[in-house]
Amino acid sequence: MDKTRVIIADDHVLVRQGTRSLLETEPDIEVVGEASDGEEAVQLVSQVHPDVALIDIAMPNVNGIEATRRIKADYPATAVLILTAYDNDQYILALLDAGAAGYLLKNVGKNDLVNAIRAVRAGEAVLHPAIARKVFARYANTAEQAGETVLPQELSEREMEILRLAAASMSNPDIAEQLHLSRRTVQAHLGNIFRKMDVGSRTEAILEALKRGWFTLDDIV
Amino acid sequence: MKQILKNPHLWIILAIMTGGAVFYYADQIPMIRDVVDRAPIGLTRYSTHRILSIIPVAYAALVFGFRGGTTAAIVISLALLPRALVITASEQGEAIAEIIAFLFIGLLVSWLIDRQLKTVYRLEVTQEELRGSLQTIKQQQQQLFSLYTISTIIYRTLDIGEIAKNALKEVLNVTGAEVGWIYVEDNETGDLVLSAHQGLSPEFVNAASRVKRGQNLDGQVAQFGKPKVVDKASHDFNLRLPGREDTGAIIIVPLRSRIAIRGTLGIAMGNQHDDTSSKLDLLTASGEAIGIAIGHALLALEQKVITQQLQLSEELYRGLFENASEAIFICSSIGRIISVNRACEQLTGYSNQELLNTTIYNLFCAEGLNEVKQLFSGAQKEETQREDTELCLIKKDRTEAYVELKVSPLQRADESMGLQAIVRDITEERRLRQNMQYYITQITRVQEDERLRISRELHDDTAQVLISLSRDLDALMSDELKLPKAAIKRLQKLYETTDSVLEGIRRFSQDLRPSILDDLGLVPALEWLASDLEKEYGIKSEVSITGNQRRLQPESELAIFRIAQEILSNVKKHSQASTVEMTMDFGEDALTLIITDNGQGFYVPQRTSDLVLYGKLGIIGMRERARLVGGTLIVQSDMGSGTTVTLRVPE
Repeated sequence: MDKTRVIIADDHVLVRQGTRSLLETEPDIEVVGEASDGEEAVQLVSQVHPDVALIDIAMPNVNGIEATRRIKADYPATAVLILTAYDNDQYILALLDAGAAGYLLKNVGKNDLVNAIRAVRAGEAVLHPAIARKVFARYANTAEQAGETVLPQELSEREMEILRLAAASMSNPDIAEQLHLSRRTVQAHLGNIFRKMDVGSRTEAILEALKRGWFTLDDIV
Repeated sequence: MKQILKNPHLWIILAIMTGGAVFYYADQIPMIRDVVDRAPIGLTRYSTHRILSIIPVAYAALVFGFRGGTTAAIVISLALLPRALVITASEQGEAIAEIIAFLFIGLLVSWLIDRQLKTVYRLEVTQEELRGSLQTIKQQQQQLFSLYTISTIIYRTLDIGEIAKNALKEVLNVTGAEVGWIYVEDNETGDLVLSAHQGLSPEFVNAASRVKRGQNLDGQVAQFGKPKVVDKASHDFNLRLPGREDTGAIIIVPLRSRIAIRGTLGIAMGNQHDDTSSKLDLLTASGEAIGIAIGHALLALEQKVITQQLQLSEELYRGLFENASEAIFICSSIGRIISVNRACEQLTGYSNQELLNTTIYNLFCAEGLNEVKQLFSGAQKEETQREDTELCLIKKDRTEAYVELKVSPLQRADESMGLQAIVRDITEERRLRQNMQYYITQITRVQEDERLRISRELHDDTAQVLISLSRDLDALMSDELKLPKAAIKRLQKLYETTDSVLEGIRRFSQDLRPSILDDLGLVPALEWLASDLEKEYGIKSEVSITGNQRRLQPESELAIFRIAQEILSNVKKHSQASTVEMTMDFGEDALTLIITDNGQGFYVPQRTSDLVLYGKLGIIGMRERARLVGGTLIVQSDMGSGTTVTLRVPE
């Protein structure tokens, strides 16, 4: 598999450089650019098409959440990981709403950061299951209220099955085991699903599926 | 019968009758005939006999009435019969005619005399009756006169003691009694006070100078309003008239006015038998006259006090009115100026005379005129004016002054005397207030800027350095460096400390200026406040949004957020509420935030000055904050019924 291409957007040089030095020691991760505010980040993504964008919320001009919204509108295949100082519900909901795959607290250790990037790339979950459930529940509620039931036409049955298991918080190896597939095949299926659904991460795919009414909250809990 | 026999007139009549009979039969009895013939009487025997016969008949009729006369005539006729029947046979016819004639004359005489007597008797009876009536009239006249005298004497004065004294004197004069007294009710205690007395022993006066209602005879009379008559007073213990053995009957009557019993009047008569019933009537009437006089005097006294008080309060008002620093206009119901004080002239620049020629409405600017008229009509209906109203007034030199207007009705004895308008010049006050508000705006702005600056600094510099530090520590602990276990343990400790410092810095920064408001807007910020309240204090909080949700001007969002923060801070500090509901309505041209709690509530003073007095400075601060973005804030609460704050900010 190719190296995971990452950009870093943070207005603090010190933090940006720190993050970069953390990631550069990893052989499977390549930092392909840096931005010092939201606007630069949006431009950078449209230029280099990274797999993952690490974006800080508090940035001048355009803040991280707005930048994420724009990135996802222009280039949905890029998964956005938000670096935030605050982990309250309002922030998490807002950033997921904007299309982020997940978030990380800014003082995360190196391992957590690297693992999160790898997970996003592999189509794994990056949200803590408890938080994920809370967020999904909220989305399921709004979908049911809206009464949208558009059946998936673009996804195959197998893909739908995998998505459903993913929504039920199963990891890639667990899905592989249950369906008697290799991990690599599961990862490939997820990649196809993301592409077909025009999203960049498992979180986005599940939220989108909930929004479209493909499955209900009962399917994922 | 015995009585008649005893009557000497009967015997005289019988004697004369006998005499007549002797003369009649004298010629038949020789002895008597000689005596009679020789008697020197110039009349014939028959004439004498006829006179002597008619006299007893008349006499009997006179003394015994018609029956007596008739009886006498019959008796004499019977005495004549033997002559007609036995003696003179030749003259028999003549004799019988004579008897019949006599009988007729006798009866006639008897009838005439009797009739005359009866007429005389009837006249006598009538005369007697007339005399009696005259007596009664005289008596009544005397009583009336006495009452009149009592009335005129007691109406001469308003002094109740004087009335009692004069009345008693006159009553004793009229009744002829020597002992008398008057008790008058004490207005405050209701006791009876001995106000006038005559002929009472000093011991009695001492012992009974004050009597409670219902106590003693006087107290009972005053209590029940019925007169009392005691025939033999000296034996009655209740009377307490020691040493007056000779006291006869006692009469006590109430002093009754139209509405109340004002006291008692009593007299004690001498030992001689006297007619108590006529005295009682007179006394009762006197009691009423005195009662009415006392009532009248009390009323007059009351009136006098009221008049004095009125005069005093009028003088006081006049003084206050003239010297008041606030302009006071006395107006008619349609606003015509009736009277003004000196301050009015100073305020308006018009002279007294100029002001009296106009209406108060002419003094106010056109834009506030409706409000002025409303105040006036409101005052006429006796509505209470709630807040002071700020109005613009035009002076004589056409400059404007800002004033506060209070209108209240002027009443005297429930009669409207017009309206009183108190006008206070607040131009200077207003200018100061505007300056103050300007400063408050500036200070608030500077304060918010400063908070933002510090919050940013903490976030941008301090926090970032700490993040770097934390990462460096993390890197030091990585396996590659192969540090000894003890060092890693200490590094881990340092790492954790750094984290908690970072957390502290973040919280501090959020408190100063919640980034959530700037990053996400008002609704998530309010939801954050609500979830915080629920998490930290267990107060169930709900946020509901209506209307078209959107971002507002940053100052408006900040003001609304700060006010909500203050309200929720009050909720958790004072209300003891268990739930809070926040409703935010994004209306077409304004945003309305309503926060309701189910707590214990509190008394909300209406006036701003009272808010200061009651220490509700928070409310003032919030109102001020709302005003800075053109909004209004209304606090509704009451003891025990929760609190609702409504904030409206126009866009």
